[in-house]
Amino acid sequence: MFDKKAIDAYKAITAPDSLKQRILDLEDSKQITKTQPLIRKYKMAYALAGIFSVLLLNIFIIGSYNETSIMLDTNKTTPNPISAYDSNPRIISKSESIVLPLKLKTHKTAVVKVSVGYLLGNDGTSKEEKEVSKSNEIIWIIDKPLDMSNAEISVTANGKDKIYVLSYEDTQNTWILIKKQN
Amino acid sequence: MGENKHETPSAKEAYNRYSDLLFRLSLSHLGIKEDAEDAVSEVFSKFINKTPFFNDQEHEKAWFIRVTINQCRDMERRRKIRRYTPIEQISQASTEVKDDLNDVLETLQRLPEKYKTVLILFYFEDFSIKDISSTLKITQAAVKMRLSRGRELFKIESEKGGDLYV
Repeated sequence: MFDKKAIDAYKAITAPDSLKQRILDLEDSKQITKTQPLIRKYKMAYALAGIFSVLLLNIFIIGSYNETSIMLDTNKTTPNPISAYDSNPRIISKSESIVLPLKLKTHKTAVVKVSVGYLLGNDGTSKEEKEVSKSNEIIWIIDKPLDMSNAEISVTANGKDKIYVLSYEDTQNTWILIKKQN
Repeated sequence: MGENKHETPSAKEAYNRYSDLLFRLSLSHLGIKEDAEDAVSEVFSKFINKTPFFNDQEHEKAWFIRVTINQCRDMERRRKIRRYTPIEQISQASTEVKDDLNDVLETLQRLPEKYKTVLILFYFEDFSIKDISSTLKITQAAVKMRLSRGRELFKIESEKGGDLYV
């Protein structure tokens, strides 16, 4: 139907070189943007991870904020008991009475109770048990101690009890509070 | 199990395989070199963006041809003025042959797309009726019918002659 020479002339038509470069440029630009779908793909995961991190941070901050603790001589008590506890009355007898300035850190109402001695409040009252509504300084006084093996102070806040045992640290020559394990 | 999967070629590999065929096909549909380039470029853009999966090389070739024909159809619909690039600008053949080819292509372009495509594939690209059938996803009977009707229309149009393109 068609002249063979015309068909051959048709078949001799080739795509121009400029077109090849155009296609290769298209492929290059696609490769550059190939990472973008990946980012889009994991966008939700990144967002969730971010939200989760913020939540964790908030929980940590709120947890820390709500935590009630008691410190003695600015040394925060440690959860692990130090084996230097010494109940020897010889050490106790160094002083007529033990005065223990405490710093209570709380954001709730806390009840502080001592097993021996008393708590001296800012108003001059002395009680074995004291309610403290915010962070405050309390002085725990033990007059003429005889047996210090049961000297404990408890802090109750937010329905949780924390009990600290008073202990004498020989190496540092000071009193320390050791948190009692539940 | 043990099925051989056809690896999708890179754009460069696909270009080396099909660019001439697709460019000729586009040119015979659109008649303008720049439009034909745009059509092929758009086809490859779709290929690069979609990264289609092909069962085998025949499937791959058919995909490129079908997408090219669809692309040309869309471009033909959009444009309002038909123009034509004389074949001497794009073929190395002798002047006499180019003139013949110009006449053929001009006439082909006046045919409805469905007849034009099967005539080009069958007579110029050496596709068998079976190949055209699988490529265009139509029955072999439909291919034969279009070839028959296309030939008739071509004869009518070539006898009309005239310069329909500006």
